[in-house]
Amino acid sequence: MKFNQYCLDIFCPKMPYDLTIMVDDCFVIKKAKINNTCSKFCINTKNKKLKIFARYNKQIVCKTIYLNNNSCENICVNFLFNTKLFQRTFNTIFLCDANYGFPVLRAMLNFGSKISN
Amino acid sequence: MANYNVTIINGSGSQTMETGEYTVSAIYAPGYDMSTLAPATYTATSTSSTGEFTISASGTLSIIFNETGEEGGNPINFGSVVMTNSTGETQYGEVVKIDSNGLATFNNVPYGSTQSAYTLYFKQLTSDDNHNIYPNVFAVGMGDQTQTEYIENTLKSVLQNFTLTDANYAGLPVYNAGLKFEGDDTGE
Repeated sequence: MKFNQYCLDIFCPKMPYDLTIMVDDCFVIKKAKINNTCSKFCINTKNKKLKIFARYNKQIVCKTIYLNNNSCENICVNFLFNTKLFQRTFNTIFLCDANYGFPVLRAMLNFGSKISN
Repeated sequence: MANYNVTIINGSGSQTMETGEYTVSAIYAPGYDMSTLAPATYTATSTSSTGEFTISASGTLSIIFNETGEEGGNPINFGSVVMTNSTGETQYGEVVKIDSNGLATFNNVPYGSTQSAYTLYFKQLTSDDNHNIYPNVFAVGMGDQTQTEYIENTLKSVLQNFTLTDANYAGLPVYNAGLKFEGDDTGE
C-alpha cells in the first residue's frame, strides 16, 4: 500500500488551541499548539482514517475524516467551539452579618463544583 | 471544573467567573459560624452580576449601664442602645432595650479571641430620667463567646432655685449667705 499526501486546511476561530492529528485511531502524527485561525498541514499516510482533535480552554472537538486514497487532496476542517460554555463575567459578592446587617470584616468564600452551565 | 476562592474585605469582593451555577461555602470567616453561610448556591450569568450572602455568629454580649461603668454600680432603670459603625452614623440591627437592671443583651454577635478580638461599636440612644446617656460611640472588643461590659451613665444635674429670707422679718432677703447640701448618693 502506497503513501498518499493529504493537505488539511484547518479553520478554528478560537486560539491558541492544541491540535492533535491521529491516524488509525491510535498513532499520533502531529501535535502542536496553534496560534492561527487558518492553518495548513500536509501529511503522508497510507491509512484510511484521520482523527483530528482541537482542544481549546478545556473543550475538545474531534473530527473524523475517511481518506479516499487520492494524493494531494485538500481537506477542509472547521472547528467550532461552544464559547458560551466558557464565557466569563465579572461578579461582585457581598457578605453581611445575618443578624445585624453590617459588612463582614474579613472572609473567604469558595465557589466550587460548578453545577451547571 | 471551575472553582474560585473569593476574598471578602469589609463586606465585599469580586471575581471573574465562568457562567453557570456554583455551590458556595465559607472557608475562612473569623468570628463566624461558617456553616451558616446562605444561600449555598450562586449563579454567574452572562452579564455582570451581584451575589448577596449572609453569615451568622453565636457570641453573646451583655452591656450593663450603671453609674460607675464598673461591676457593682447602681444601674439605670431603662433606656435603649443600638449597634453602629465606628462613627455612629449607621445603625445595624434592631434597637435593644435596656431593662430595669441596666442590662442590654446582644445575641448572635461575632467574636474573636483574646489576642484578636472582634470589634463592635454601639451607641446609647436613651436613658432613664435621672441619668445622662453615654455621650460617645463606644467600642467593645469581643474576645470571648460570652462577654459583659459596663458603661457609665452619670447622674443628671438639674438646676435648682433657692430663696433665703430672714426668719423674723418676713420677706427680708438675706444679703449674702452660703448653704451646703449633702446627699446620700442614692440618686433619689
